[in-house]
Amino acid sequence: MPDLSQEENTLSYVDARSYTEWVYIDLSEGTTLALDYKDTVGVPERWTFALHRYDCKTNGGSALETPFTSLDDLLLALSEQTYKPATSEFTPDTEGDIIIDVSHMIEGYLIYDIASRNEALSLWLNVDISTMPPIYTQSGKVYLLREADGTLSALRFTGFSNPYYYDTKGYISFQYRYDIEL
Amino acid sequence: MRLALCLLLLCLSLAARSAETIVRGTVKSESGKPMPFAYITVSGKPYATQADKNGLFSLSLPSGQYTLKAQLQGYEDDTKELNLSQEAVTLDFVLKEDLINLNAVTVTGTRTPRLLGEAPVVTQIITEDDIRKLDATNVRDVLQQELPGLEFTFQMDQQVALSMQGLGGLAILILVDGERLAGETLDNTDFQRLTTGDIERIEVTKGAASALYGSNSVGAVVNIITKQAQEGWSANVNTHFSAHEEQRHGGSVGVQRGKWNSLTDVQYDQKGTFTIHDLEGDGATTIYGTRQWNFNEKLSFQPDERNTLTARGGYYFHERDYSSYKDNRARDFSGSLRWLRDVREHGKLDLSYTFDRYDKSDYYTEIRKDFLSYKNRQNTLRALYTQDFSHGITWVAGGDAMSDYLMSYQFEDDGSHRQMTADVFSQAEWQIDSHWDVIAGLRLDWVSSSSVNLSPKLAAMYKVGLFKLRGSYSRGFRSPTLKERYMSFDMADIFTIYGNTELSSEHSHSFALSAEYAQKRYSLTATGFLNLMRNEISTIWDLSRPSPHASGSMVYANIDGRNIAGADVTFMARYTCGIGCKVSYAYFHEFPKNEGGYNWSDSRPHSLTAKVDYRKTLKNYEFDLLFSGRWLSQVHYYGYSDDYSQHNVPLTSPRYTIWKLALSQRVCRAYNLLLSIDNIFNYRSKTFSYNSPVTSGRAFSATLSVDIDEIVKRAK
Repeated sequence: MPDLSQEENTLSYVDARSYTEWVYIDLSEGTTLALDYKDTVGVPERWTFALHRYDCKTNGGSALETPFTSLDDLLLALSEQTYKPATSEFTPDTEGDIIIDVSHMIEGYLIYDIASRNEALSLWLNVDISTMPPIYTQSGKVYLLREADGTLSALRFTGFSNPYYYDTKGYISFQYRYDIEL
Repeated sequence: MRLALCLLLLCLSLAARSAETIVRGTVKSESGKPMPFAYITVSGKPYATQADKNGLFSLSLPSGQYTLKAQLQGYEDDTKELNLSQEAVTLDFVLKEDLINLNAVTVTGTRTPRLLGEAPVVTQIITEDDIRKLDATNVRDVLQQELPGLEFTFQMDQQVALSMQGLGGLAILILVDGERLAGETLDNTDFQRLTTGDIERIEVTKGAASALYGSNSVGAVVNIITKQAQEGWSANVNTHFSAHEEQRHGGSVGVQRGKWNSLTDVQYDQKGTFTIHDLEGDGATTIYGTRQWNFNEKLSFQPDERNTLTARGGYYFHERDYSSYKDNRARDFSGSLRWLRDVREHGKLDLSYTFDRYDKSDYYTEIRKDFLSYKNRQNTLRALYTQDFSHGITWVAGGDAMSDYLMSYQFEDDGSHRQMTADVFSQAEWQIDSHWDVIAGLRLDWVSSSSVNLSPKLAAMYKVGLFKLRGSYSRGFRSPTLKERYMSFDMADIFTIYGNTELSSEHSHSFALSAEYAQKRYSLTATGFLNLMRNEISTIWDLSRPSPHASGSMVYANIDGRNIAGADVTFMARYTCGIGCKVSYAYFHEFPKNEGGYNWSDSRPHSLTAKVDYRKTLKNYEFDLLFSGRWLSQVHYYGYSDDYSQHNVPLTSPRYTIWKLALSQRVCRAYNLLLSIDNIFNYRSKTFSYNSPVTSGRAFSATLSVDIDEIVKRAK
């Protein structure tokens, strides 16, 4: 049974602005660490997922976009067993492209790097660059994130910019419940 | 006791009746023909009647002095003074045809009031009646339907932008009662703050007019003239419903008592978020919903015949459903004080102070906080003196001083900047004889930390019979805005846009020649114009100045620009049977001076607006059936590619046409019901684009407006 008494946690305005860094987040401690995208040595031993702008990757885990838009609703459905996602519904990370240099966008090209990326978790924000400025659309959904050791967390992203700092994009906010049970 | 009281009341009632005078008469045309169903009103009093089908009327009035007015659509009002002391009086009215409003409307485009037909510069008028029939919520709805060559498009983030025959929002000066408006978004006035409830008329003068109006009047001046309360009192409530949760609810209260005149107008309007699906393919565009509140008050006090003091105040609030995480908001607070004084025999002094503050903010729904991102505050002092001399000479002289403060999210660290402007101007108009009318004017504008501009103007009108020829030269200029001078804005982490403190004013030499033929029922006006643009302010890609996220940046600069030439033709006709039409066509051509000759303007070169209506006045019932629409041609131009990676890419926007059928019915002069079908031919864009019409197809709407004062008049 999930622990409904547990307080909801929030991480606000995590600075994921840099195109050349991953921000490693440990939900068990609520800590963050930014490292160069090429840095494999400094990666902490314990982390749950990482952010590169709006891209997400997990620490060998998998993720699922649930139909719920509130953490409480999801936890209630899980407790009442009206929502029972199968393990096969979780998506593991795959290799994908991340943008590491936008300085040539006006000249018509971007520079990418191949990196691990979780497509399910990255669904939290859609960025439509067919218009200028881009249109940002948040899914508003709650995501389930299963770590490699089976620890399950629920996440709901609440923002991608910092209104207290000129509404700069790339500051990510989310609510979460760590270590819940299916 | 009760019986005695009843008898007393009966006696008083009979006494009152016996003191009443019956005014009888006929309403006739100039040829002596009876005019059926004209309205007879008494200024400032709750008495009114309507002539019958033979033009006969009668009205009972207590003894006293009255001003009676006969009114009928398409005719000039006829007013008579009456001093009633007898039992019966006969009074006849004669209504002169003015089917196309040439003599019924006074225009002020040259700051010297003239009848529309006598104005020495070509002025287009949109009357209160035109606006009512269009069922317009704000000035944007009115202008795009009435003026060919004018388009409203979506720029970034669906911000509304005005384009007019190749010119953008900053080249067209929008005024309310001659005063500038604070605030802009992507160089455009917030048209949603300009609601139509308190508008008496809109005057549009094309061509440069900086000699009178200073900066920004490069391409045209649109002056919105607000109403004053009618004599006595008036009260109106109205409500409107249309597709996509479009609603408008409002009302006004007007009082004219003795030396006081007050008009209060309130409007709330909204439109829900909706999606436009492309006719071809799966493309869909979400149009953000908006809500607006508008409150306007105009209060005048006339202590004596020579002096009038007027105070105006306004508040506006706007909210737009921008995204799931934030709403865009805007607020405006405005106020003005004006003193009009008759000086000597033919002089008029006009002193005014105007304050306007326009704020923009973002409301973050998750944290429920509102963050101010933009604040523009303008304080303006103006003095204007008009003197009529003998021999038909009118002389105008004046000056303005303005402080302009801007705090913006587009400045470094959300900072602020300020500039001062001051000007003096003078103009003389000489009606030499019955044929010639000449105007000459000169204005000197000073902008702190920018430039000095000298703007001359020369215009002449030659009348012969029913023909009028008008010709003019004027210089227009636009001084760089604070935004263009100090901008430092990170464009979605892609590149930065920088202002330029070295910018010079852009200016134009504007030449116009027009011919008009006008008689009572028809008028035809054709105008040709040439605008020689210099030093246009634009943005260029500058590789010598890298952005934090890019190898270059966008920088404001003066460029060689282009010249623009074009022509407008307007035909109006109206018959006494009630049928009328107005067709206006506009054309322009851009002559680019850039290397490669790329025309960058996306304004459509050919455009046409048209309306045909049939109106009829019957006993206690009037109706007006209006079919109106606009047609805009295809346009080929050069611009950025979809991903903004290439410039001077050939682009095409398709032609489109939108038509509307509206039935306006008025019962007992008090209840107005307007039913309309917008986009009657169900136009939908194959691929919705920023300059496509914002429609998802045919839409039905209904508006009910009730004039409470008319109900009270009828009850009496």
